[in-house]
Amino acid sequence: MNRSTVAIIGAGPAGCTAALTLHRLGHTPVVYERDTFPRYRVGESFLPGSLSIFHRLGLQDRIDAAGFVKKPSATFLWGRDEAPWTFSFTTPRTSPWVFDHAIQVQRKEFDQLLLDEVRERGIEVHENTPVSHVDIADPDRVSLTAGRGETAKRLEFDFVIDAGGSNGPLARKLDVRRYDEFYKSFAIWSYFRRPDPFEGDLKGTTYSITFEDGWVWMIPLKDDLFSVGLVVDRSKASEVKQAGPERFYRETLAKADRAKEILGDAEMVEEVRVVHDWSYDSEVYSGGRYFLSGDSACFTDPLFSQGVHLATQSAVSAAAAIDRIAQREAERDEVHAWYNRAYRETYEQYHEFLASFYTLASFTEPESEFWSKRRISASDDGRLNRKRWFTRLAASSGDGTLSVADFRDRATTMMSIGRHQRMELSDEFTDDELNPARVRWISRLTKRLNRIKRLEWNGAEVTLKPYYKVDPETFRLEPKQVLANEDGLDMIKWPLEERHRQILSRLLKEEVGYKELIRELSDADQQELSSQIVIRLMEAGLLTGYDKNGEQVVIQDRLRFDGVGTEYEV
Amino acid sequence: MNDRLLALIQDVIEEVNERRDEKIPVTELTSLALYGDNGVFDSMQLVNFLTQVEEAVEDEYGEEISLTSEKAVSQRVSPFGRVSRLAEFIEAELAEAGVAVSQPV
Repeated sequence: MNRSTVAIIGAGPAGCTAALTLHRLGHTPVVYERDTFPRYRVGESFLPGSLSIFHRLGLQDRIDAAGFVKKPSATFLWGRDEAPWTFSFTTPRTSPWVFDHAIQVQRKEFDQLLLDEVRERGIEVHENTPVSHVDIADPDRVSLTAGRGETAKRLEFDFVIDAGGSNGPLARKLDVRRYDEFYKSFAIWSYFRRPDPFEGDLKGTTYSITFEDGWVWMIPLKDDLFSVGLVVDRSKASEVKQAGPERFYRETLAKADRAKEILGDAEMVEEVRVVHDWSYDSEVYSGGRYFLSGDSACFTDPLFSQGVHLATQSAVSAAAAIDRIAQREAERDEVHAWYNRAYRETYEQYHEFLASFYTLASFTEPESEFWSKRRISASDDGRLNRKRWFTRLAASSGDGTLSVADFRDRATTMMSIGRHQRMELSDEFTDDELNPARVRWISRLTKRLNRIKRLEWNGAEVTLKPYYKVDPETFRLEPKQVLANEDGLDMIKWPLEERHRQILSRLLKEEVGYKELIRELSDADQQELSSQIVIRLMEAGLLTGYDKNGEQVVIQDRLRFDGVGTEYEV
Repeated sequence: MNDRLLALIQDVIEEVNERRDEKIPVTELTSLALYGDNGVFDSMQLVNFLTQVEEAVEDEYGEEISLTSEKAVSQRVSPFGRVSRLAEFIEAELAEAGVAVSQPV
């Protein structure tokens, strides 16, 4: 095999995950870190999918030994006068690397743990070594300068991954960053000393709590620490300047009654920190011999704790992509197309999810400037015109199938599935009390699908087009095929094969209902996934269903979220 | 516990297992958790499984029952917790419809 040398800029979760994956794939990564560890970082709440990646990279024992807080869910006090609701990570553990929980960490400790593992595996690490002058003009190699002052060296590598966070030098140089017009917020946070107030199924959960000026995160950490952050509108920045961060923080937090109830008289034990430039993505995520990964590529509002998962998922993807290109240079363009597409889909999926929850909350705080600015109510909302999910949503409102006004209903559906049976947070809450709502919802969906007597393929041809997937155990990038029509509209979640294409092709010639299609797909070995495949094809716009009277059966698009459940992207 | 109903549920699980990588163990069938804590199904899989059980019950007893009805999902003791509870729920539903589970149609 061809071994490649890869410069990794940054030793945070993206950089270390990329290094560990590349090392496992037989390549030679070298990590350059600007700071000296341990160092402070925010972003303390993880998703199960990241834990899965760390497990598969062999870090489970180390993570277990560290005794991080186990996070079973995220709990929302979302919207005034709403019962709490919990986004539970409960899932059948269909393999040892499917996780029904995540962890809450102090990043200083966790990032050190990752870096220690990188070193112990024999990977070269240089701390206190900033990277500058990254040159990607040569099609065969990358050159960069690593180090400070006179000790700085000019070095050459086969590839580079910029995992250098929001100040990633290559991301800055490429000038591809696009700041978000929708989430114009900043965060201000500190730490309080108090034990987790709940036992039972709420213990370890992350709280997100709306109030008139924005929302509050509350994350229980080891040693009875609570990370408590406020996400507020950027227009408040002048107030921070005027009052000073600590006074602004204390006064604003005081307005969040429900957060204060949880905190009680806990004492603030650390300084108040602020971060601006809240959300952004990039025009391109990779090309030639470079990859952007983690915060150097994109960042979005932290409501669902997705930051570290975007970092680790993209890091595995970048490593797998480099491995593939190293073995098959001719596939380079296709591999980059996959990386860009997969990364953008994941990012946008979070973006859409968040926008729906913001829109929903905006209706419960009608007087609030923060929330009124974050409501989507028109299909010509210019703040979202670069987002594919929004373009699809706006376009679909023209034919009566969906409308922007329905958008908040998706969040409402999610909330109804996780709604607690009492208005207040309580130890009486159990994850099991959510089961009836889950089953009720899926049952309604299944009944609706069963009403479909004719499925129409939207296009003249059912085709297979090449795509890639990362094998979850080997981390190799494997060529796959996905279903598409002749216009390139596709469904990339699950790769399929010729036999599935033939089954779907029947729709072009014959009348086939939902149940019949499910039966055929099940017989073609996709039993576990057959209904999910059909739903995804409908969401992708490739299938439309009609009932016995010829009326269209509309299925509400689900808000999708990578990193939870049983199917991880990597 | 009605053995015929348990056998019927076991048949459906084995049918599911035919196309499942991670097989559902049927050795301790009555205590097998279907859904929720340590359950073997996610919600979509559970509903698909229940639909198959409904069909099997109809084939066996000639009676259409719903295992995803409001009544089923709002039971104080969930019929989806363990196979034994599902069997009990089916038995009660059939009894209500005037079908004795020991006597096939």
